[in-house]
Amino acid sequence: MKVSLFVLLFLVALSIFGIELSQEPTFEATNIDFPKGKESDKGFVKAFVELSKDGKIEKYGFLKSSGPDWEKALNKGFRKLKFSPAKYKDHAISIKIYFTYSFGESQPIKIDSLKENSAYKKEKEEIDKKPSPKAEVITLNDRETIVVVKNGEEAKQEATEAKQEATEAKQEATEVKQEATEVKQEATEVKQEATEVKQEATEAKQEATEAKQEATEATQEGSNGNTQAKTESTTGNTASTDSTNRTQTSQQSTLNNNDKAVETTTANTTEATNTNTDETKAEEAPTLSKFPELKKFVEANYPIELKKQKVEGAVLLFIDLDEAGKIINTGVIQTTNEQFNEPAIEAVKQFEFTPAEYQDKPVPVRITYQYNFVIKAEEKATQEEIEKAKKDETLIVETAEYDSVKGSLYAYGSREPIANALVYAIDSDKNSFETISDSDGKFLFKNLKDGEYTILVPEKDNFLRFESKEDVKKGSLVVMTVYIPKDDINPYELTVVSRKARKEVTKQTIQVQELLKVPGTSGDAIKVVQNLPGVSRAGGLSGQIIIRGSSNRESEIFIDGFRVPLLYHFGGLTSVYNSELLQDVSYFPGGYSVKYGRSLGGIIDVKTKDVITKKDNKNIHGFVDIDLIDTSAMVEIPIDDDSGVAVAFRRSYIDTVLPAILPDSVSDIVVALPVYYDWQLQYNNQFTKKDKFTFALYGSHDNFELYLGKPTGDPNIEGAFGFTTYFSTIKSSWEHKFSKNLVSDLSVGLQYSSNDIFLGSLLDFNISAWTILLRENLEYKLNSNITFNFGVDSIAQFYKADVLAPKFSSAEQNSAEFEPIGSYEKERQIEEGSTIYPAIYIEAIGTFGKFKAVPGVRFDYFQNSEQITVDPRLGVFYTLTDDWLLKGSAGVFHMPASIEQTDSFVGNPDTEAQYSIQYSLGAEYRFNDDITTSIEFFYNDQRDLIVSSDEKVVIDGEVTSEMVNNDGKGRAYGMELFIRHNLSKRFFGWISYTLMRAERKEHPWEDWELFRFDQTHILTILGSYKLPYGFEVGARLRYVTGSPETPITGSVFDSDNATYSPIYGEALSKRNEPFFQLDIRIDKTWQFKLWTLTAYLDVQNVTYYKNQEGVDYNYDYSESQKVEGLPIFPSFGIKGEW
Amino acid sequence: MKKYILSILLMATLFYGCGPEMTSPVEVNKLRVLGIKADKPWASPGEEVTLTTLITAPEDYTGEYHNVWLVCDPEAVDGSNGSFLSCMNFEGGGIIGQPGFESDTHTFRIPEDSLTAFGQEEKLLYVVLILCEDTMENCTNLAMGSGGVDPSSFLISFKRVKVVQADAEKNSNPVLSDIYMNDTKLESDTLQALTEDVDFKAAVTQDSFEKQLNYDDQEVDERITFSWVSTKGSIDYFYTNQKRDETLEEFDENSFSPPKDGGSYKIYIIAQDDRGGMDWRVLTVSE
Repeated sequence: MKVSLFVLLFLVALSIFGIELSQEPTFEATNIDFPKGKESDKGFVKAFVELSKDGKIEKYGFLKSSGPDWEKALNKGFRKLKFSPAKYKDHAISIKIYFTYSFGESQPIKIDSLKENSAYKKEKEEIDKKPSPKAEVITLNDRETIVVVKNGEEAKQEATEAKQEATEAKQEATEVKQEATEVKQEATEVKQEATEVKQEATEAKQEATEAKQEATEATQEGSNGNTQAKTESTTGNTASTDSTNRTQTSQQSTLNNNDKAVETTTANTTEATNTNTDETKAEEAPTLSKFPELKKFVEANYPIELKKQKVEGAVLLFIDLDEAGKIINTGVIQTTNEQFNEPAIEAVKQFEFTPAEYQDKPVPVRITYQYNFVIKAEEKATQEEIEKAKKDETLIVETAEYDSVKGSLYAYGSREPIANALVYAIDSDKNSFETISDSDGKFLFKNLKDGEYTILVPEKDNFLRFESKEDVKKGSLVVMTVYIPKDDINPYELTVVSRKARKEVTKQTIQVQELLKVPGTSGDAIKVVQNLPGVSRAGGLSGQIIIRGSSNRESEIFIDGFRVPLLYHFGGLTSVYNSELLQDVSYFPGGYSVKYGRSLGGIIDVKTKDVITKKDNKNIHGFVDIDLIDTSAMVEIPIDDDSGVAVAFRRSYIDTVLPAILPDSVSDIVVALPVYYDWQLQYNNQFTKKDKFTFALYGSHDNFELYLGKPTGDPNIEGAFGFTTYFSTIKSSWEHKFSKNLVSDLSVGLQYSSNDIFLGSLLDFNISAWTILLRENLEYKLNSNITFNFGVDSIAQFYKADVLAPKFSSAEQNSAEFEPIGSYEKERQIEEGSTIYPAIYIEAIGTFGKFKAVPGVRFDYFQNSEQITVDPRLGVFYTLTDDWLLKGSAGVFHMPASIEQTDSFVGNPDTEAQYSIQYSLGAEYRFNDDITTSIEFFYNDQRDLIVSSDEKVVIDGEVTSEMVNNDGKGRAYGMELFIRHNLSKRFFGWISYTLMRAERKEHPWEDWELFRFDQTHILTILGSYKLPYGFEVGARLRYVTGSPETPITGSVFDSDNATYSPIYGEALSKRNEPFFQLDIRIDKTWQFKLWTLTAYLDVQNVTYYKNQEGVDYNYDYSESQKVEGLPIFPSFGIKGEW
Repeated sequence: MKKYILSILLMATLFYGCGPEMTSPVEVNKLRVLGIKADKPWASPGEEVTLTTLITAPEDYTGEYHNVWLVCDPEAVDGSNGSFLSCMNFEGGGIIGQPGFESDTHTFRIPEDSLTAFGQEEKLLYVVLILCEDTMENCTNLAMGSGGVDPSSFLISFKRVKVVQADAEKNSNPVLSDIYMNDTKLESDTLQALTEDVDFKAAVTQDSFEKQLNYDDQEVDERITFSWVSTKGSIDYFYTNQKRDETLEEFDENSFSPPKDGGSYKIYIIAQDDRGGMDWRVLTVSE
């Protein structure tokens, strides 16, 4: 709270304070801020200040207060107090003032008392020796009067000199007069000439006239010359007068009644003759009845260079005051150094005077003023004074007059400044001084007396206590840079997903802090989704995302709202996006917003983080992570307050590691092993308060080649097999806030993807595509209850497919019944095309008390099937109590047929979009801030599913296989239970249980059959706990019902190929064994000054349970054995982070 | 589909050999049909085709088996799904000629009207050999009781015979002309007892590499593969290959380890092209 500008004048007669003064000191206080957090409180501080005769603060101290915060506040603002000195016999004099400063009062400062100090006594003696000054009054004219003020003996001397100069001036004036006379004579002569001319003829008359004119002009010139001469005489007197006048003090001039002043005259010639008269008058100059008093002194800025060089000096100025005492003009008369001139003038212009009075009437005056620039050392309060104050029950705070201990506090490892930390300096007598570190972690102790101090930083916000002994000496600055370790290296950040902000009925958002430490995922954030309710376990290393019984093709994965063609390297080894660049992963198993479409199953939307900027007060950050399979590295650079950039890269080397651990029988086969790498670049810039720009470039490359060293079970499959999957995306986004109620979020992206697969001479499949992605969402807040979202979500794709494959029906493709792939005739097809999937949507979010509804509708156009689809959706929430929430949803979700499904060669051009109608009903209960639970029942009704068909159709007069059609139907229903302990200081974890059934049928007339991704029970229990000394342990337990399988009941021998073809039993009539796995993870982190090192061990399947991933058969399917999953699989890695 | 293939192949790669070894196809540990050869792999309507089968069993096999020959035209079966198994339901039709019984050979004539459908230039007939490893009575009861041939109860083998127009170019069987043991050509198919590992090579005649058109309408050689099976001992590879103009040094080598307990046994080498042609030789190793 600012204290308004005011001037405080002593109103009480000096006599009351028992000290002899002719003028009380004055001072003003400006902008003294209240203590932080006490802006509405009132407090006081009793203090003393010693002023020099220059009005400077020599020392000050605090005696009593309503609290240390108030003292600190006044201490902080003390330098803003400006003083004018006291006067004794009109001479400035040092003084000691006791006062009370009251925060919150209209007039905060009240003088308690004035006291003499040693300086006062000394200066008083000197003043007493000086004669009293005099003032001279010089009348310029009837209106103007100038008062020349000077003092004492010097003034007297100056007056004598002035008089001499005045005499000289008078002589000059006489000379001027003579010149004027001569001019006059000349003029007369001219006149005579003019008269003679006139006496002559007519021409002479003209000449006479001209002469007359000339004479007239001459006469005028003569008069002017005379006048000018007089004027010069006057001016000369003025200059001579002024140049001799100076004062010796830097404050107000004193008056000297006894000195004589040289007169000054106006430009009036007439008055020039009165010079002597004025001189005479000067000798008898009257005395001002009241002299102008300086009521506001302004301290000049000492020129820095001169101060550094310790150059002192003075500037003599003249100051013209009007009748009101207002400064109307000022200027330099004399100076010791021109660099002092401007600061002196600037300061003087801000002075305020009381008006001078002559015969009790205000009059304008000119005064001279000498501004002294003096470098003076300030003294602190002496020990005696402190002792004395103690006796008076006072508390003196050391004044900050020199730096004693200066330091910076940083966090160990991350090097982030530690702000707002209390720092103590404790001397040997247990006296404690405290300060607080600023936003940059810097702290400063001033004015500590010599001795040993303990510099102490108490424990705060998980930072450990720091203590250090330092020797302090005046004049020797102690500089400290302190790195303080934390009790836990990466404190968990509590994440609260506000129910009010949510609009999806079923949504789980996992923060990256949790994602990086989930056991069994090797720190891969996106793989954590596989532990959430509704997500079935994909077998082996397939890495498929199977949500609520839908196939992996029916769910979509997004990064910042843009679809990615590939989520995992090699079907599940690790995800394609560096987890450290992610903010969170949101998982929607169903009932999601109309912002998302083209999917039957669930949605996973991975959100990238904002790169750090300098405003975040963070330094360059990065890490290198090395484990058995790959190495990744990342660097994050804050560019300025608004922008930052991050770059990350990962590359695998399992092609060099895996051969060492594979059995010989396998290593005979495999010659080249998987290689993958991925890269990301992120840039964001908040270039205005309303505009934020982000740019991202990311991609992935997977390559796998397998050379068959010995034959497989099919002689047609020989030689080499391999695939390469590549994609690269470039994306930019612009968020613009039109107002607080209207926000636009525009994203544009370009993606290139390529898929190459070859299988000996049997199959050669190449498909590449350029995809243009466009998203725009306009959020409009109608009022506090209703928000609308309008949006566009469009994709344009340009593809090229070059396929060499056996030509057989899709039914044969899937069953491979009796005909080895190699026996079919191959056909090559090259196709290019484009497809566009534009979509628009509108959604409303309405909150009415405890009830919230999110209706929305989405319109899609699928070009390949030439369809316009409409997806109405509704989500509702009802807050029963603060802890109970009911929720439900219903909606339609369309998914287009893929390009290959509508392809004329491998698909059916008449294929239409598939869709599902999803319902859900559930409740959430919040036990406390940490623990929440959710239960949800769901039913998905899937229609027009695209299924294989071996029906024969006639196309263009040719009988051909239909390949696919929309006869399929599906349904999935079940219950999901999720009990979650949110990320807290030391622990996070959850229990996820799904009870589910997923069924399909390929034709409406068929009976329901289990879907191949049906898993009845899916149970996941996981948790992670932070231990002391940088350790963190976690575990994950999973139990999943085995997936359905179709048994093989026999085989037939194909003599042409010397192979056996299986004969299948009832489809999906048998289940694999249940899956059980326990994973553990241990992290250990070491903190160093500038970086941290983390080593982790992630062991999957610690119990070495032999899970069944499938069934293996011998050559004629007469023998079988289960295919076991990964055995105990340790993954070890180290990560250095700075 | 492609992801499914990839997943299976990748899993097979990684898990292959992770469990106990199952019976390899090079071993004969039960009654097996190793091949069915047609004297005319491709024939025209009205032509006779004679089929011969190669059946093997372990050296100590004393069991009883009975076989039945059927020639199936799946297109002629009512409600056929295109599979020859539809002929196994005897009530559906599709059987050509009379079944053959208890013989290692079977002859049938290709019906004259085989290619009478509009624009039809070729079709496949399936010769099915059904082995029942039991007494005749039980086999008969099994077949009659189930109302047909249940593949899980019988050993079923099949061979395709391609029916083409009379003037069409036809595929013929390769000729397995040479067998080499330790790079020495065998003059006889009877070998003395082997006491140590030997390397075998097989070769067909150069004429066996008939030309065919690929998907790009280019002429390419047929692909020749050899299957290797033995009733005793062990062979490294079930399949080897041969390409045209390869020399002896370039032929695929297949190592054979003789049984430790000695005795007599047979080694079968079956040569196939990729269009239904076949030939074989049987090496008999005496005790």
